[in-house]
Amino acid sequence: MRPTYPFSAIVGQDEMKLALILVAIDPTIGGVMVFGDRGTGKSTAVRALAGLLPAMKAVAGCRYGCDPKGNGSRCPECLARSARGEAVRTVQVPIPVVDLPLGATEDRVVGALDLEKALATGEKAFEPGLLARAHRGFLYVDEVNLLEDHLVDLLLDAAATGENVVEREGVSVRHPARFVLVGSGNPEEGELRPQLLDRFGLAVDVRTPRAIATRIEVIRRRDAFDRDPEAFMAHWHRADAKARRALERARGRLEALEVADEVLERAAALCAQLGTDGLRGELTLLRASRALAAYEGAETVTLEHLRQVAPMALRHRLRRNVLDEAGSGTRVERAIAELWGDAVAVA
Amino acid sequence: MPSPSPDLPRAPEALIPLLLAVDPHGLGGAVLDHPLHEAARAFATRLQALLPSGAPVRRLPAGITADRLYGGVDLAASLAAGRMVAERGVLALADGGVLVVPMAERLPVAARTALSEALDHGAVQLAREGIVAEHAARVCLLLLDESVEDEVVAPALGDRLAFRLPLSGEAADEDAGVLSSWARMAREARHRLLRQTVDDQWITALCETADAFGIDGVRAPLLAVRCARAHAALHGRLLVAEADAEAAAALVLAPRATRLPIPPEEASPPEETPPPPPEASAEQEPPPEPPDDEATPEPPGLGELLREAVAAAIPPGVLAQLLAQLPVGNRGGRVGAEEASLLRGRPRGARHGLPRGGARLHLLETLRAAAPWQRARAAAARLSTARPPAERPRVAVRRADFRIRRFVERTGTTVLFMVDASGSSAIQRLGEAKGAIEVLLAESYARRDRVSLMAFRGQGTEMLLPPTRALARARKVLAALPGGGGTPLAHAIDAALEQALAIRRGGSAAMVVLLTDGRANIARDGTPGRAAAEADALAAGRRFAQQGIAALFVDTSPRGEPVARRVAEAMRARYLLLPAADAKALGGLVRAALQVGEGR
Repeated sequence: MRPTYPFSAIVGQDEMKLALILVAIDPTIGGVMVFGDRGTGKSTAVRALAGLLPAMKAVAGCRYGCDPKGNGSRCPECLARSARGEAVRTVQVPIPVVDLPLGATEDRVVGALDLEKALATGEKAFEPGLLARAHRGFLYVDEVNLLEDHLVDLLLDAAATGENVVEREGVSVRHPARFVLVGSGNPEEGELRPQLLDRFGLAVDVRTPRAIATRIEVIRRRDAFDRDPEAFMAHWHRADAKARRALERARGRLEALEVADEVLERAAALCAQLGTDGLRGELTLLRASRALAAYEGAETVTLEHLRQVAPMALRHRLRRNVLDEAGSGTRVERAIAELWGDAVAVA
Repeated sequence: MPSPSPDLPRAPEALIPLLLAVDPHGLGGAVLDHPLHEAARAFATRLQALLPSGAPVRRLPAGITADRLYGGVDLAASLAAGRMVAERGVLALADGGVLVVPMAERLPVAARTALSEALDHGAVQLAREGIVAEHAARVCLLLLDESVEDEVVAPALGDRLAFRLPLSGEAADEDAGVLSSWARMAREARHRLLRQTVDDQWITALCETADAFGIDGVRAPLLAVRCARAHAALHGRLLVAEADAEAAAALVLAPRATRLPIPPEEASPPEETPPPPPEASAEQEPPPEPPDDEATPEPPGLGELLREAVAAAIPPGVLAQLLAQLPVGNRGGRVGAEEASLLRGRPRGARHGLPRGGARLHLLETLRAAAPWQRARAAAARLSTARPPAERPRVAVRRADFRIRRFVERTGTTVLFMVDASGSSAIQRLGEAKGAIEVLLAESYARRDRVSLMAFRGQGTEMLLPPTRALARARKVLAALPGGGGTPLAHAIDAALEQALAIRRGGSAAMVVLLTDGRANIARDGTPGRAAAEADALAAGRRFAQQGIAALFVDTSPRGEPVARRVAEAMRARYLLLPAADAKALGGLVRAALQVGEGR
């Protein structure tokens, strides 16, 4: 296992880090799309997230990592087990962060007939794919804009329904596949299909750090990591542990947080002003603000929370105008300033 | 500790293999700029000689598939063993050694992402055909850039390699004794590398130097730091010194420079410093605006030193070329073309069928189809044949199991815009034509078409944007399109035809949109003169018509030009007079025309 760069040691890139933390607090926000230049540490951040995530409870021996308390979303094997009245043992497992390589074949993504078993014993067994491994965790696709269309279709289908349906070579399987889709890509190397873009709850822009001091710090840390990964990780261990505790606390607080009617109205008004289609934007906006409030340990969700997450929740939902000069994040901020420029200060 | 070795080479062709041998995976490798075959081979051999003994050197065949890069199922072994046997891919086989990539500019996207993955993580993840594994792949890449014209090694890959150098093929003659003493130095340096430290001042200086030369991102300075360390290790130093940083700046940063630093005392724009070569300036636009950075910060002393090293290492003319390329928005992006090479024969699953008539057998899927029946067939075989078990086939495959490979030939459309940027057009309606194109671009975006932009003026045509789906770039290119010069309409039609045929060969449908005022005044042979130019344009139009390519002729002259109409007829193109109305109204017309064109 190669060492992973610690999440806390990533210099800058605050919006990306915040977006990843918010979806880790509340996976129902949906996925994160990271747009950005080459070599800005997109992949590093996502892979580092794996080291930050707390453990989760899963059914022991379940190949799909089913939630012991998960009602309604069990894999066929767990369903069969509970039908037989077997007792369920629970184990702690790390939350999966699964890489979907661009070169992956369809059968590895959705799963396929277990060829070895079939050849050796004639048994028709299903071998789960990457979607099964990513269940209840994260599925990361680097350069998602270059992913082949038929794989994108598979991902869209699973992300929309929360389950994976396989009909191949005489195997017929349906299993839960709820995952947070994290994609990254450089729009200059190929646009993302609009349907796919819409599936991401949050979208962030990552830029090459402009300030020289930041670049120097990036390189200093990277160099230190390359030279002695163990020492570097030990050095950042406490910071990562602290961030992990904050994340866990936020998850606990999430349930109890109410969103005041006033904030709901503001969110609706903002979406109306920006002309985002559908309810998805509004819903994401609220969930993201709530996750942020939980992360900050706030009593209630305030307008300030809303304002902070609005760009990442809405920038990719604006009416597409590829020829618009201004970044879409700027358009969101402009709308906020128009709508409640002074209200934020009061709230 | 050996003293600083006096016999280390200074020429980049000889020094770079040494540096790569010290930190092969950390430095990533090198792009070899249009090397002669022997020179590239000699470079790789020399590098191998300097690496630890047994380090593999592999050459990637052109058109390699992802299977072979990543690895997958070893079919023969799997069949013999009756269970899945994994096979290492080329990347895993080259672990700890060198991978030579010929024709790197034509590398398909899938292959290039595999290489990037290996560079970033030192390992490749396998998720294919029932195998999930991770194989170590600490490779050092030698990309042979053999591009012509607008081809470019994908920056996403080139950026990850420390070096880029032209190979003259002359410096290859060191005797075996020298080579073996270098090999010894490289070996000692490898041991020294981990204990080495880089003072912050050099990291700072390298970052500032990169910034001053307009090099974006942190990858370049990071590679420069690694290069400085390798250089120091070669010289037996445990602490990076000025000479090391200087060498790193010259070898890693200089080839990436996109501008000369702005001298602090005078605020002259950077593009005035290098005089562009005459042949570049004749055809190309005027120098671009400087990159969009904020003002370059005040350079401190150390940065200054390195800056001189970089400036000295930049070969004359290179910078001018870089500057001339800049208006395209970014350096290189041959994305459209990369996709084109994928179009043909992109495998997409398998289907029932017999492997004949050119169809290729999909062995794995065939086995998969046969697998569930093996027990039943074995039982049937026992009953029906008298053959002893040893002679019976291990796997029984029937005709119905055969699966053949299915390929996707994407029949997407590529819309080629050929824009008249001549003086006559520019003065009158270039702005409006641009507006019309923007509308069409938005339209193409909605339909997921690819677009390509060419302009013609003066003596010829110019490819502004190879086929791409990245419309943001198309818009940038368009905004920078200058006007002026004669109207070589015949040339434009010829070039459009040639491009359209190339697009068609790439497997996608082509459509040409020609925007011009029709006032042809440059003949095919380049001489001015209206009559000859018009006759040539008509002839070119007729030639165009023979290929049956859908075309749209947008007349941008104020009241319609009879010649334009005749040329459009010769081309069998739809003729549209750009109305004085706004571009949006035109959009509707054009949309209808394109749909008609598609229906052909």
